[in-house]
Amino acid sequence: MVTVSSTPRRDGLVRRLNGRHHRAALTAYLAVVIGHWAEHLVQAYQIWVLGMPRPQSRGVLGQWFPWLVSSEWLHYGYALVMLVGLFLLRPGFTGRSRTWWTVALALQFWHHVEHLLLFAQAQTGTYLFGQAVPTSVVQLLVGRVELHLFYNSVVFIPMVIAMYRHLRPSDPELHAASCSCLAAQKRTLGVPAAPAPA
Amino acid sequence: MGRVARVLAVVAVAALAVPAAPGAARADSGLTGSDPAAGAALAAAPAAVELTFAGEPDPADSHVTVLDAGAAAVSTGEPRRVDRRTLRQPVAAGLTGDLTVAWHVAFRDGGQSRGTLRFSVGTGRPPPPAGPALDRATAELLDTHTHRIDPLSAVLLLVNAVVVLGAVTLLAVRDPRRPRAWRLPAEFGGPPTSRPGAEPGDPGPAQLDSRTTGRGTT
Repeated sequence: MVTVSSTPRRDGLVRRLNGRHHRAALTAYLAVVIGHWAEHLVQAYQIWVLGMPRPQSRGVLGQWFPWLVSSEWLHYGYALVMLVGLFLLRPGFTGRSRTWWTVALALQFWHHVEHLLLFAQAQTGTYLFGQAVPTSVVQLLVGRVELHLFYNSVVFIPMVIAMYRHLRPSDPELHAASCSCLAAQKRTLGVPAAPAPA
Repeated sequence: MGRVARVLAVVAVAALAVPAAPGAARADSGLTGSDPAAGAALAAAPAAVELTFAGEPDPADSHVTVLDAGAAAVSTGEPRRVDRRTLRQPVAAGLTGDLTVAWHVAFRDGGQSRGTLRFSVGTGRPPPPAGPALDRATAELLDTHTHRIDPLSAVLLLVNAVVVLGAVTLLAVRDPRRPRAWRLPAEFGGPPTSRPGAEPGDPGPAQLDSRTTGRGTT
């Protein structure tokens, strides 16, 4: 006689993140992104409204931890968190929201490469392109602060559109979705549950 | 005052107060040495001027200019860090006469230093004090030296703000055919995402025909 165990298989981290914890994970991720973006807004406020010199305009955290602003660890760490978040949370998106999210992921991948170059130069003390400071590829054309604000923006905008599209899906997108973000909509509309994303 | 209003009030006060608050106390990061030394009389022109500070300079936000007796800039390129506390500023070859070094240096701890020093090359005597014209030129150089954010950054920040406000506004507009699009997740104190015991996406008792939602793919 053969006995078959029927113990339910435990979902993996990615499956859980994109299923019953997708809404919480996206909210936490968005809080980090908004916090970073708010720091840039505060910097702009310090420069333009308060008239503070640019080196002294370091946002909120930089007021108490000035070394943070020039720390390549922080900049690289944030770029990595962004990249990992975009990668891990992508399976929960469906249809057009997934397209927008993928655009953000691709752009962040390049942004991360640029930060990796800066990080490696800062750690080794060897600067590329004969520059006096760590310099990334596109930084040869555009100043560093402006360039990374641009990168953050072009990643942030498709990300916000993806989140909006995710929360306002079309009918086929709603049918395909299986995450907690859309559970209430599916329940109200009587849409059957979709298999969890791989 | 509701909970949301209280939170918004605290955030608003913090947003106005924090950016203007003084930062961490910073040690004096001023100049501790230079090569050539202040007042030096050199026989031959140096290839570069090196300034050593008590603090750790940030070259990206630091500027060093060398001026000749006629207040013309003779430094070349940008200052580069040769060690943690020293900046090296290359100068044009074959210089002679009395030279003035003016610096405005930002430090990694948030402090800054500005000042001037003089040395001479090939004159056989230390440099005399700078005259009023040179003083004016260096003061002007240091005073007019500002760090500004460019219009592109301003536009990007504005575009970001418009996108966020647009998305939030669209989400706030209630779709009568669907429940509210976003609320705080249960993990962060919000309402549960589904009926007790139900999996996400599990249809509840209020079954509606999905064909009535009217949302296509466009």
